[in-house]
Parts: sequence; structure tokens; C-alpha cells
Amino acid sequence: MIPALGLLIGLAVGLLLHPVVPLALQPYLPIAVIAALDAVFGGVRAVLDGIFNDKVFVVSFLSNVVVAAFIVFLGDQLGVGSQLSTGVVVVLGIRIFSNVASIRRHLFSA
Amino acid sequence: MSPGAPERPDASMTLITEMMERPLDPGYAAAAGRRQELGQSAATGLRSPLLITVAILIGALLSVSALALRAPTSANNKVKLGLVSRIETARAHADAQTRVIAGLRAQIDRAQSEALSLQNQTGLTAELARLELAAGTVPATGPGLVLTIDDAESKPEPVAPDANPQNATGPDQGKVLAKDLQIIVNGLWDAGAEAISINGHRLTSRAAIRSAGAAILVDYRPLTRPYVITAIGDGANLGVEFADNSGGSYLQSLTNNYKIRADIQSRKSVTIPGEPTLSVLRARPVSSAVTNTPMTTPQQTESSP
Repeated sequence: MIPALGLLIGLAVGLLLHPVVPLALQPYLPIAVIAALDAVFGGVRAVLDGIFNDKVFVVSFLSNVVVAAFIVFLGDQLGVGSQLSTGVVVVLGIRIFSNVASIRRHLFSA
Repeated sequence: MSPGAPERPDASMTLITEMMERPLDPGYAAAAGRRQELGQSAATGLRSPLLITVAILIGALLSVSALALRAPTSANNKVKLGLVSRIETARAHADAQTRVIAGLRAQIDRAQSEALSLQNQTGLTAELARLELAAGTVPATGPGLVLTIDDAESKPEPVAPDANPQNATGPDQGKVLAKDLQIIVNGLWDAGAEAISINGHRLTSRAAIRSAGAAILVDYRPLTRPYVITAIGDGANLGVEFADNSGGSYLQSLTNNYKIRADIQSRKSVTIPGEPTLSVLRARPVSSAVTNTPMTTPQQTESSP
């Protein structure tokens, strides 16, 4: 519950402060968001499975974001940025959906 | 997998299998196993400061990226809306000015006819009215027809992958072009129309139908579809003549080949607005020719047997 509150506080802070993201960082934002969502849903599923571990969660979030950003950066350098971004979105999207399906089974047993 | 077990049929797709069957980070299970070996509970609490910091970070990331990535499109929209509103204001201003001109011109006409009648020049008044009607500066009414033309219904046809792209009807094939309107209007003049307007714009001797990009301009005003061409002429005959001449057959071929929608209706009475801003700034009458040459309009030469 407390992490959920933290998430809301973070949302509010971002909305209120409205920081300007440098243009060079903007291509990485969508991928970073997808990676963060993947980590969040993985964490929620782990909580429901009863095997949540805060260090694993933090490390998986940070490594997800860094690796995703690195893939986009590499793709941009190689001229296939959009294709690699699509690949990252597909892989993480599948993981998000299966994690959400598992959460759903836990919560509604359906 | 034990060595004795038969090889899985999907062994070559381990990447996909891995992704679909174990979406959860294996690190969670490993960490839980380690903690259980140490005699702790499998799950850690949700209250560690690290976790809360990261949660706040993720929330901020979500909202910041939403704001940052949404901004450019809304900025574009703002510019576009500003331009649209400027165009609309300018057009409303032009319409208001046109109405003022029409009012002033009516005053001028009244003053003119008064002056002429004071001088007992009623012949000149009638002549003036006749010339104004022919020039198209005053609204005209009479029997005629209303021709409504519209683009073909845009129905995305299923394109076979092996279809020859040259045979496929492109999306632009069913659009009414400025050239189509020109040919149709010329056909109407040819059929004996005495006054024509398109979407309420009178076609005078100075009006042009031209295209600017994808838009059709009449008198430098853009038209929106459907295109309603109103023509005054000998009601039923006008339609028959038009159907017979080149404009009518051109329209027929547009309908048959490109599915452009056209609808002709004869009316007992149609009204065509005048073009009050018709003015000549540079042209001067040739003094000798004016009095000698009778005023001829295209339809008079066409309809004479």
C-alpha cells in the first residue's frame, strides 16, 4: 500500500513540477515507461506470489530502464532505432500482459 | 531437462517459450529461496525506504514522460487552431465587407435611378438594369436547374496483393477536380445557361475556377463539397441541351468511370446571387466601339439558330 502511495506522490510531483526533459533524452522516455511498467507489474505479481524482494525489484527496474535506453541508443546509432524500440516494446509488452494475467488470477481467481 | 526425456518439439523456440511461460523475473524466486534457507520469510516487507523511493521515481517518470511527449502535438494543434481561427475571422470580415458593398451598391443604384428618372431618362434605367443583370452584379432569378456534384463515396476497396497497381483506382480518382467543374460549367454555358453560380458564388466574366492544391477555388474562395451548381436557363431545355453536349457527356463519364455522384434537378425558379465586388479598375471602353457594337453575351450567340 505504501509503495502505491509513493507512486501517486511521484505522479503528483511530476505533474506539479512539470520539469522540462532535454530533447536528447526524449526518445528514451517511451521505452523507459514500458520498462518501468514491466518492473511494476512484475513486482505486484511477486507480492501476490509471496516472493517479493525489494532489492530484486529495484535492480530489475533500474536494469530494465538502462538496458531499454541502451538498446534505443544503439538502434539510433545503427539507424534501426524504431525497429529496435518496437522489439523492446513487444517483448516487454508480452511480459506485462502475462504478469497482469497472473495478477488477475490471483485477485479474482479467474 | 533430463537426458532420457524426449526432446521437446518446440526446442528451437526456447526464446519465445521462455518469454511466454516465465514472465516473472527469476530473480524473485532465487532471492526468496535464499531467504528461506536463512530461515526468513520468503517475501520482504513493502516498507523499505529504497522501494518507496523507487515507487516515487516511477510515478514521476510516468507523469513526466506523459507531459513531455504529449506537449509537441498539443503545440502543433494550438498553432493549427490559431491559423484556422485567423482564417475564419478574415473570412467573416470579408463577408461583412461584401455585405457592406452590396448595401452601398444598392444605395448607388437607387441614387442612379432617381437621378435618371429626374432627368426623364427612363430608357437609360432599363438599359442599366439589363446590363447589370447580364454582367452579374445583381442577383438573378428564373427557371433553371440545380446540379449537385460530389466526390465518389470513399470505400476502401480490398486490394489483392498481386493486383496490378496501375489498374487500381487510387484514392484520388473519385475526387471532383477543378477541371471537371470547368468543363461542366462550360457545358452549361454551351447549353444556354444565362447565369451560373457554384455554391453561391456567381460566375461572372471575371470569375475563375481553379485548383490550389487539393482545394477548388471559385473567385479565389475555396469551395467545400458537395458542389452545387445553379444555372438559370430554359428549364427543361437546359437540362436536355446539357445532357447532349460535351459537358453532359463528360459528367456522364465521370459518373460511370469514377463513381462521382451527380444529381440534376430542374426547378421552376432558382435564385442566383450577384457578385457585388465586380469592378473594373484599369480597363477603359474603346470610345468608338461602345456605342456601335451591340452588347452580346455568350449565351445569346449560342442560342441563336
